[in-house]
Amino acid sequence: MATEKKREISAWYEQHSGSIFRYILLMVRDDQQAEDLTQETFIKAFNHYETFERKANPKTWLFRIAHNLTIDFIRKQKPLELLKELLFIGGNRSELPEESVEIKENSKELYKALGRLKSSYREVIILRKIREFSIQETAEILNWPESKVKNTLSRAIPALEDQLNKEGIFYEKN
Amino acid sequence: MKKTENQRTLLDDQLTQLDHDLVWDERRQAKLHHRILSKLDKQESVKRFSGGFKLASSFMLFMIILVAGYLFISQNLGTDSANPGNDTETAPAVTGDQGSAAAGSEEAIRAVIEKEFDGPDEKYKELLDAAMDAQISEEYMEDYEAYLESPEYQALMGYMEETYAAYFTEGGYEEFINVMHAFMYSGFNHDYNLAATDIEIEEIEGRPSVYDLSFQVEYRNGNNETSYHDFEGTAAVSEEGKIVKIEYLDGLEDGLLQKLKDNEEE
Repeated sequence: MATEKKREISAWYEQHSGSIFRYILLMVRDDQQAEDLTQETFIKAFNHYETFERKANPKTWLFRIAHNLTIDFIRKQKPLELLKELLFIGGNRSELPEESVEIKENSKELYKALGRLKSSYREVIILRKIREFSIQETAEILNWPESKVKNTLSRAIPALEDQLNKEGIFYEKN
Repeated sequence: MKKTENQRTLLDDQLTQLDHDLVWDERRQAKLHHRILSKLDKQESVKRFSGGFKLASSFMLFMIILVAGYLFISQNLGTDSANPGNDTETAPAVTGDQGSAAAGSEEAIRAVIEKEFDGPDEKYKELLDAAMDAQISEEYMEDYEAYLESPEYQALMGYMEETYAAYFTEGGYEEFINVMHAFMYSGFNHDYNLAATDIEIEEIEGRPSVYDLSFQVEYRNGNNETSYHDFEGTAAVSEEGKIVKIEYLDGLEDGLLQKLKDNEEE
């Protein structure tokens, strides 16, 4: 069954690694870290395979693992980021990834603007608007009540619009 | 006019577009896939090594208990022979029922070893491939619950149950398919054959319903190259002669599983 388990994890990688990698990348904005966290997500899924309830959707389960790993990573990074800002070095929050990802020109500004939002806003936008998870699935991944998902999203969207306007990007609200 | 929750905005479209515009290098993605699988292989090898170590430690502990028990009994017998009126050493009587239950247990253990190691089981391989194809098919890709109900998945689970469940208690069967991994040696794609020989099953003295196992597995690949792998293990059975637990292990770094993996990659 170890072989079967590995084959299933491998099949999940084929299906979901791209969307998990892009979700992590938008959260951490470092392609190398995003690859490492994607790897950890699938290894953790393998190691906790027995706890996966077969009736659950593997995609939601994998995203929940990815979310926990990403938030842990961001928490550990925070003191370093603050120190860099204090020393006027400037964090790498909005730099574009270089090595393994190409971002098409039209979306670069949006990528940067999204990167300047606080992580809870960024995450709820990514899950609801980019990955198109339902409110229920998003609540499950983030381990939030559904009302918190709705409220946070309703604040996150205007914050992103403001960020885009601040950067002088013509943005038509509708 | 207030927009409804489902109404898409320009920003929604731009966010969707952002996802399409983030392009992860395909080679990097494939490389990471390979890296993960290699890491899982390494992890499994370490686990098997530590399992082997535990088995060896258990064996040492068993030997110590055996020697201590022998010394204790010898001492008592010495005392008893000094008191001839106290004749205590009698062999336990084996009833007909106990004898046939023991024979049934041995048959169950033998059958599981043969089914696992006279292979690979082509029907299992066929059903496994069909289930894997179904899982990544358009029909089930987004609906895992439906996949679990799919005829392909049900056929695979049904075949495993049909092959093994009768030999196990309910809990024993669950553990065998999830922990010990039923059909573990059948899930490889290269051309090979396995045959189990010299199967010996012996009830451990003083531990009724617990058996020592040993057997040899012949592995032959498509080029007619052959290797032999000696397995040892233990099994525990219920009063009804159904297997509660079965474990077996061959070499560590040079074990049959490693051989199968190595030849898969060639």
